[in-house]
Formats: sequence, C-alpha cells, structure tokens
Amino acid sequence: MDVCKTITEKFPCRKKIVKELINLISYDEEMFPNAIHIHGHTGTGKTTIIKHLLKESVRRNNENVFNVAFVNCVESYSSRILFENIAETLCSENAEEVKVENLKDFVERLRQLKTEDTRYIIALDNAERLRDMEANVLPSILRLQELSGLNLCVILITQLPLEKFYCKTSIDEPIIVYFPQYTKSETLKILSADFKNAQNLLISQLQRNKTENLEQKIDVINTVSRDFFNNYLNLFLGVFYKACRDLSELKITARKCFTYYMTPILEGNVDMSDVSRLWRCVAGQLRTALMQVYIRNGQPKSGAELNDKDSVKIAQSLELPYYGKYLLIAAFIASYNSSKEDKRLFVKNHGKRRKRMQAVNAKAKVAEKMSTYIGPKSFSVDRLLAIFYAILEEKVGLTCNLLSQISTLVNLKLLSFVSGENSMDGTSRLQCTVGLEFIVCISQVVGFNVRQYLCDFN
Amino acid sequence: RRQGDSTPKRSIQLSDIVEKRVFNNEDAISTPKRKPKGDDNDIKRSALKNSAIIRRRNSTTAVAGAMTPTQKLKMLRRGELSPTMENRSTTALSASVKSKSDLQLARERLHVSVVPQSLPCREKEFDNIYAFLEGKIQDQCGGCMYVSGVPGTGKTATVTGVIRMLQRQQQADELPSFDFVEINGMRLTEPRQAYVQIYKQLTGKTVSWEQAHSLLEKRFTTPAPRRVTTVLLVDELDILCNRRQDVVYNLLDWPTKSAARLVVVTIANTMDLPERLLMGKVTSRLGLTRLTFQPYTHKQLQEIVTMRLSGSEAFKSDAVQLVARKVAAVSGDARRALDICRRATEIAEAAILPKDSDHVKSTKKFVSIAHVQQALSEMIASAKVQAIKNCSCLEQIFLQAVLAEVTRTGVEETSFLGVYSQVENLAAFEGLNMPTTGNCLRICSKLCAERLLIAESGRNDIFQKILLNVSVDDIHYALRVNGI
Repeated sequence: MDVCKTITEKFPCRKKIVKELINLISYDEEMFPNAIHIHGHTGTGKTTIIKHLLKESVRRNNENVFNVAFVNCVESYSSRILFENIAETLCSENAEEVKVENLKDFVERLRQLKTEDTRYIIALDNAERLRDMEANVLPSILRLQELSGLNLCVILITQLPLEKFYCKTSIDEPIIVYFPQYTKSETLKILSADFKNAQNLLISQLQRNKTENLEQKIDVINTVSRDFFNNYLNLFLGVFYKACRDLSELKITARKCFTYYMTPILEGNVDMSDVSRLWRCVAGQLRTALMQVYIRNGQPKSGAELNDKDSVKIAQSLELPYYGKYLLIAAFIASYNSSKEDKRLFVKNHGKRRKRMQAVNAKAKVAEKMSTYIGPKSFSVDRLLAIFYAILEEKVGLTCNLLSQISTLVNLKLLSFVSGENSMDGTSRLQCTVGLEFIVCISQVVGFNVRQYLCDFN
Repeated sequence: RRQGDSTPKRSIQLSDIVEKRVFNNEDAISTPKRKPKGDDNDIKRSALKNSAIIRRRNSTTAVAGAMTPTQKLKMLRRGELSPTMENRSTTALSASVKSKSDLQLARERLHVSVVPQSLPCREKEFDNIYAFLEGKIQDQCGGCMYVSGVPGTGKTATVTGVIRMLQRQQQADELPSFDFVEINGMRLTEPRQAYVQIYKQLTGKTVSWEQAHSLLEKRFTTPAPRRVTTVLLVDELDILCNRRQDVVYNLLDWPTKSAARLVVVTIANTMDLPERLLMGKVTSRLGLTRLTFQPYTHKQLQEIVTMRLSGSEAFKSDAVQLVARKVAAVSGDARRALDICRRATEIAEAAILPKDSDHVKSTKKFVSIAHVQQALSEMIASAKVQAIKNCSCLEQIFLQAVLAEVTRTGVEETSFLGVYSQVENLAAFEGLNMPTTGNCLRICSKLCAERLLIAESGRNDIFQKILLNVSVDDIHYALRVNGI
C-alpha cells in the first residue's frame, strides 16, 4: 500500500479511487484486466493521477517488468500514428525503425514482444478520439490483451461515459472507473494546500514592484496563518463555486485574488482580523475576476475597463474604408429585416399604406419569432447592393473596388457565405455575422442612424 | 469432315499436337499450359544457368541447385516452376473404399465437387452449346455466346462438360485442334487482371496487364497461318464490367476480328445483363446467341439426386422427394439440394453412432424422412426467433418497447427517447426495477450488434434512430411462446 500512500499524499481526497486503481493494476501476481475506462469531468485529476500512479509503479518495479506507454489521442490523430507512438514506447530497444502501417502490424509487433512476466500498460488520454478512427480501432484496442497474448491493460481516459463509445458492432465492456467532481469542502482542502505558493507569489510580486516598506510588508505576509488563508478561500469559494468547479482554474484565480485581498492589509488600512471590512474591500475585485474566469489574459482589468463592451472596442479599432462600413451596415440591415419591409424603408415614394388588420397583427410579433432572437437571415448580393445604394446618400459607381470589398468583408469574417460560395451568377447568399452594438458603433462613426432602419430592434 | 481436305501443312501441325497430347497423357480437362518446348531440358538449362550465375557471384559458397527467393519468383513468373501442394504423409492414407459405410459413400457421391460425367436434365442445353462450339471450331471462325441462369443450375458444369467432350474428340482426331482458356471474374482482383490470366494460360508466363493486353491484342489482330482456334470461357461476366467496360469490350471485340479465331462463352446470372449493364457497343458484339438455364423443377432435382445415389440404398425415395420439392419451391438450386441431402446423411449417421455400432450396423442405415426434415429445418429455419427467445429479460422488454413504439407512432423509424418511455411503462407493468438510460443504451447497442435492431452509433445517445431488423411477427411469436 506504499504506492497508495504516496499518491494520496500528492492528491488528497482521491483515496478511494486510487485504491481501486491500485487493486486493478498494481499487484504483480495478478493478471491485468482487459481494459479500464476512466471518465470524469475536466479538472478532476484523471490524467495526472494516472500518470503519477503509472510512474510510481514503474519506479517501484523495473522498467523491464512494468512497461508503460502514455499516449494522447489528440496528438495521434490517425490510427497509424497512434500505433507507432505506442509501439515506439513499448519496444524501447529499436525505437528508430518502428514502422506500423495498420492494426495487423501493430498486433504482430506486440506479439513479438512476448516475454515472461513483463506487464504492459497502454494509457490513452482523450480516448474519445478513438471513435473517429477506423471502425476496427476501438473494438480491437479494448481486447488487445486477447489479441496480443500479453499481460497488457489498456486505460482509456476521457470525459465521456462509456455509453458514447458504443458502436454498431459492439465493444467489449471495460471496467469503468468514475472520477466524481470534488465537493466544496474537498476543493477547499485542496486549495488550502496551495497556501505556501500563494505566499511566495505575493512576496515575489512585491519584490518585483519595488514597493516601499518592503521588509515590513514581507514580515506581515509571513505572519499570515493557514487559518487566515482558509478564511479567504471560504470567501473566495462563496463567490466562485457556483460558476466554476474546475480545480486548476480555481487555483489560478485564487492566487491572483489573494493579492487583492492582502493589499488593504499591507497598506495598513485594515486590520487582519477585521474580516467583514476585508470582504467589503475585495468583493468588487472578486466579482470582476468572476467575469474573467477561463479568460487568462495576464493581469485582470479594473471594473471600469471591463464595463466597456468588447465588441464596441473591436468596432472602434477596426479600420474599415468608408464604403466598406456602409456595406457592412447594409448587410446588417439586410440580415435583420425581412425583405417585405424593404419597399417601405428605402423607396422614397412607396405610396400610401392602408392600415389593415392583417398588417397590425403581423406587426405584433411574438418575441421568439423576431429576428433578434432567431439570428441573422441570409440575403443575396443584389439585395445588399440595393440597400447599400439606398442608405448611401451620394451616388457611387459600381466598380470592382466596391465589389471586392464584399469579399474582403467575407475574408474578415464580418460576413459569411451561407450557400453558393463559388458561383458568380448571383444565386449565392450571404449572412451578416456581427452584433447590434458593433453596427451601432460603426454607424456612429460614419454618422448614420441605423436604428431607424431596423424593425425588430428597439 | 473437313479434316480430309485441309492442307498437308495443317495436318502435320495437328498430328504433332495430338501426338504431344497423347504423349503427355492428359485426359482430364486442361488448359494448354504450353510449356516452353522440351520443358524438362529447359528447366535444367535455366537451373544450370542460375547456378552458374551464383557461382560467378560468389564462387566459394554457392551450392548448385539452391535458389534465392528472387530466382524462384522469376522462375514462377516465367512458368518454369509449377505451384504444388504439400503431400500428406503416406502413413495417414485415406480410408479405402471397402471400409466405408453406405452412408459415407452416399455422402461422398453427394458432394457438390463431384461432377458426374453426364449431367442429367441438361441434355438440351448440352446439345445447344455443343452445336455452337463445334460449329465454330469446325468453321475456324470466332463468335460469342451468352449463358445465363440463377446459381446452381449447372451452367459452368455443362459448359465445361461440352469442352471436355470436344477435347476428347480432338484427341480422337475428329475435330480441328483448339486451345481452351478459362477465366473467372470472381478470381480476379481487378477486371484488367483478366488479360494476365488469359496470357498466362496461353503461354504460362506472368506479365503485367499492360504487357499482357498488348501481346494478346497482337495475337488476336495479326493473322498467322497456323493459328489455332481459342475457346475462352468467361465465368461471372458481370464482375468484369467496370465503368469504362474496356475489358469486356476487348474480350468481345477480339472474336469479331477475322485473324483471331476466338470463341468466347460468357456465363452470368442475370438474363438481361447485356441490356441492363453493358454499353450498346458491347451488347451488340455479344450477339444474340443466348441460352438460359431454367431453375430445376422438383422432378429434375429428384432425378439429379437419385442419379448420384444410384446403386446405394442410403436414401429413401420419399426423403429425396421431400428435399427436391422443398428446394425447388425456393430456388431450384442443385447445390442446395445436394447440401441438404449431405446434411441429412450426417444427421442419420449421428443418430446411429451413439448407440453401440455393432448391433445397429445391419439394422438401419438409411436416411429417413425425419432426418431430412431436421436438415431442412436447420438450413432453412430463421435464427432470429431463437436469438429473441434467448435474449435477457430486459432485452426482451426493450424489443417489446420498440414494437410498442412502432405501433403507437405508425412509423417504422423510432427514436430512443420514445422507446425508453415505453420501456419505463413496460418495466412498471412487469414490476421490474426501472432500468437506467445507460443500461438501456447498452442493451440497444447489444441488440444492434446482433442485428436484431438497426440503430445509429451510440454517439447521439437518446436521439438515435432505431429500426426493427426482425419482423413484428417474429417478436410476437418468440415472446408469446416464451411467456406461456
């Protein structure tokens, strides 16, 4: 049970699963199971624990006795690369000339390995990719022990349950090990193990910034106790646990936010024991950081910066030519207005409209049917040009420069083709892919009120 | 008739060939593996040459006669080595005829591979083909014939029988000599390999298909004074039809050349193959000489089996009749009838064996109608009902649920979600624990692997479409019988 101890020290709260895995693969005198299917959410420690467990097992046994191949199926995108990667690590003697064309070669290769009481483990990370390889790969990988005649076990590591792996010709059932998500208390326990790291990070940050009273501040930091840190984590998880349970993400954010938590203390504004005032100081920062979870762009921004919409910023920074902007606005109008309204909106003398009951009913649209909800509709290039000329007050010639701007907009992914990408006969249909704020911003730049041309918005 | 007034040159050539045939003593049907003249000497010479080469290469270690694999391959490609099989060691000699029982003898005779000298019930077709081929050979011209019929109606057997007859006549000097070449579409990896096979059978050499094609083209288009008629049998013609149909076109175009003297007999299953699959120019070259082999009637099948069993008391006549009637009603396939009879003999033998063989030896040693019944039910009965009967409880419930969903919606294609709600109902009705969705998905994939259901891959789990692959009545029958 030595392996179990070292692993559980490194990975707390996983004792049960580690024991189960060790029971399956760590006893010398027993044959391996055919295959093990390990599934669980992201950040539950599947890959890391298996990696450490296998490394530890290899260390304890001899490498000649316990042979491990750990392969990521995303890297090995075709079955040939996968087989070659596995064979390379398993046949360590002649690693250069490993050449495995197909499954048959691979099995033949494994058969040649046959030695007494050597045990082989093949761990495949991101195993859901196996389903996209040839139809024979997954079923035969799962019964590799039988095919190769070796004491061999295949470990599939994936986020999907086994039900998603069933194929038309049935697979051999592997042993299923489930990695559940950590509960809140478990998360707390694991994060509090990060105490020393957070402390060090804080000190190094202070040293880098060359703040005044450095020694005094470092002294303050060194007096921070584990309980204090745990209190902070409690606050932190109170905000974050609802939105995110991914451990690695929480760890990074917790370290980052600890600096904010400590700033008022270091500046001497707040006493260390005054938890409620500390909370008031840090709450805003935590909420800002919550907006930015999973977006790792260096330093977190301040609240005011964040309130600006990203799309507006992009719109302001995007340098489009004048007609290009109008084309984009026209495309937006074409996408979000039905073509029935075109006559009313853009033709000068469209005649008087009689109010009919039908029209009134049509106007009272259900919210779900409004194009604001169902997304942009497609339009033809002709309609785009017609609206462009209608909203542009001046008259410009239809030159090739103008038409080439449409394709430029498509290349910039501001427009996209829905159909007929390569046909020049006018049957191709386009779609506008930008949002309302973006267009409003652009139209402000050119001094055009786009809102008065939109039926479904406002 | 015409042999008398053929030119002396030809008669000399003919007699030469006949002599060779007599000398080689080949009475079985054979393709003219025209070995290089004086083959034995040639092999010796080439072996000597090879050994000389080896000696030249490494003069110290060479052993005369030993060949490298490359040399072996070269000789194989030139046709100087003939492929042989390993012989069984002499100690395990096959059992002599006397020690065999009546049933064993009958089983041997009933084997499909034992083609009798004369095929019963195919006399008319035999005459037809014989007249065609004999006429073409006598007239020294080319032509085509298309033979069709469902599998197991004796097409290939009849045609090869005619060829054998003609070869015998040729040996007896009653017929101008001819070469016989046989290719089978199913034995070729690709239609173009047909050229290679034909060329190999004519000369014994293996070359690439381009080379073989040009050599054959030259052979069949340029006139040569001593050209012999070639009879080419093309079995499974439909396999040779690719999109361009160049192989079929060439095979059917060569007979139209005056220099070729090629007679092509093509065999396929479908009657309207030329009209359905082949291009106009190919169909037009195939000509109108066609022959259709009708499936055997029950009387004919009975005759075939009894003819094979003639002299043996192993079968009761009503047993044979039952087989004939059953098979004739389904396909009229002679192979099937023979196989069922063979299976029946095995069953009869197994029925005797467990008892003490000494006592029963004399008493009953024939195939009765009961044995035939059993063989028929084995070969015809559906395995699906058995499979459903042996399914687990939940699997049966799942099948019932699919059935219920199909009847509820009236559409054959159902989704897993609907089936699952039916499973819930049925499980509640039966008082079983509610199966989880994961379990049901596993059951679904298992039934799908057994092809009782047809479903999509498990990836789109609860939205996967499910189709029944068994008839509704099968499920009803299997489950109701089980329920009582």
